[in-house]
Amino acid sequence: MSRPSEGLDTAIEAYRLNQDVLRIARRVVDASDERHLRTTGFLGLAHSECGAELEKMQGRLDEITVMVLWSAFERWLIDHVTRVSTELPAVSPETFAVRLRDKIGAEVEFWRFDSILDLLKGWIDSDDVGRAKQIKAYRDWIAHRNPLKRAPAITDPATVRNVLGGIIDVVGGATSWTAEEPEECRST
Amino acid sequence: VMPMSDTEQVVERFVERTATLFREIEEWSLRTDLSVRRHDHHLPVDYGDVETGALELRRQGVLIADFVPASAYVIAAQGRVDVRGRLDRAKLLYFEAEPRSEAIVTDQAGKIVMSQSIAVFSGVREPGWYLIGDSHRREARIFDERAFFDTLAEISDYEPAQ
Repeated sequence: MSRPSEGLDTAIEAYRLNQDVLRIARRVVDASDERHLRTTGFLGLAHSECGAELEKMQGRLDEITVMVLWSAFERWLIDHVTRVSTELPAVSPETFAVRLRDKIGAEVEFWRFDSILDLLKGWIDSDDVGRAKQIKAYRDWIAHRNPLKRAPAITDPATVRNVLGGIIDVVGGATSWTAEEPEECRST
Repeated sequence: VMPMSDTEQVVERFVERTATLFREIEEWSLRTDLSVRRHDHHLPVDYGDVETGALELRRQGVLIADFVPASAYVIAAQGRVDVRGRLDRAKLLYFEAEPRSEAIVTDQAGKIVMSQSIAVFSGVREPGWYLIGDSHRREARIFDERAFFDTLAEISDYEPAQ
C-alpha cells in the first residue's frame, strides 16, 4: 500500500547509505589502512584530524538530509494546496471562482509557509504543527547560519522524516497510517 | 639516562627533521628580500606537548609563508608541516622511504585475483621532506630550493627580487 509520504523515503535511504559509507571510512581510518586510503585527502593527516573531518561530514550529512526532507515537504504541501483549491465547492459567479483559484495557484508559492502550516491546526495535532515549524527554523538556520542566532533544537533526519511524513499522510488522506507506522515499516 | 619510548623517539625524530627543514629554509631565504623569524609553537603529543617552533617568512612586513609543524603521526608518512601563505596553503610530508601499499582486487567470492604493490605517493627516491599537491594526485615532490620558491609563488604570489 502506498503512502503519500513515500517520496521522503528516498532521502532517508540515501542518508542511511551515506552513513554506512562514513562508517566504513571510520574503520579504514582507524586501521590507518593505506591500501584503501590511497589517492584520498586522508593521507598525511593525523588520526585526530581524520576523525574531525568525518565528524564534520556526519554533521553536514544530517543537515543536508533535513534540508532535502524539508524541501520535499514544502513542495508537497504547496502542490496540495494548489490541487485542492481547484476542488473548492462551487462559488458563484463562476468567473469569480476561477479568478480566486488562479490567484491561489499563482501566489501560494509566496505565502509565508508558517501561515500554510497554520491552516492545518485543529486537523493536524498542534504539537506536530509546532514541530514542523521547529524543523523549518532549523532548516533556515542551516541555510543562513547566522552566527548571532543560536542553533534551534537539533532535529535528526529520522525524527524529521516521521514528523513531516506523518503530516503529509494525514493531509494526503492516509489517516490511519501514523498509528501503525512501525508495523508497516517492517512489512515493506 | 631513561630509555626513550617508541612514541618519544618518533616525536624526537620529527623535531630534529623539522629543525633541519627550518635551517634549509633560512639558508634559501638568505639571498632574498625575505625576513625569517622563528616563533613559539607547541605540538600536542601523547605525553604532553613539545616545543617545535614555527617559521615565519615576511617581505616588508607582509606574511609570505608560515611553516607550522602539524603532527609527528600521520597516515602514510612520518610527520607533516603545514605551510600557510597569503592566498593558499600547502603541505609537506616526511618520508623515510617510498610509501607503498598492496592494491588488491578480489572476485565475488573474496578470492584475490590481482595483487600488486603500488606507490602511495610517487616520486619518493630518498628520505626527506616532500611537497604534496592536490589530494587526488599522487606526486610527491622533493622539497628542495626550487620547490620552496615554487611554493611561495603558488601560495603567496611571491618571487624573489632580481
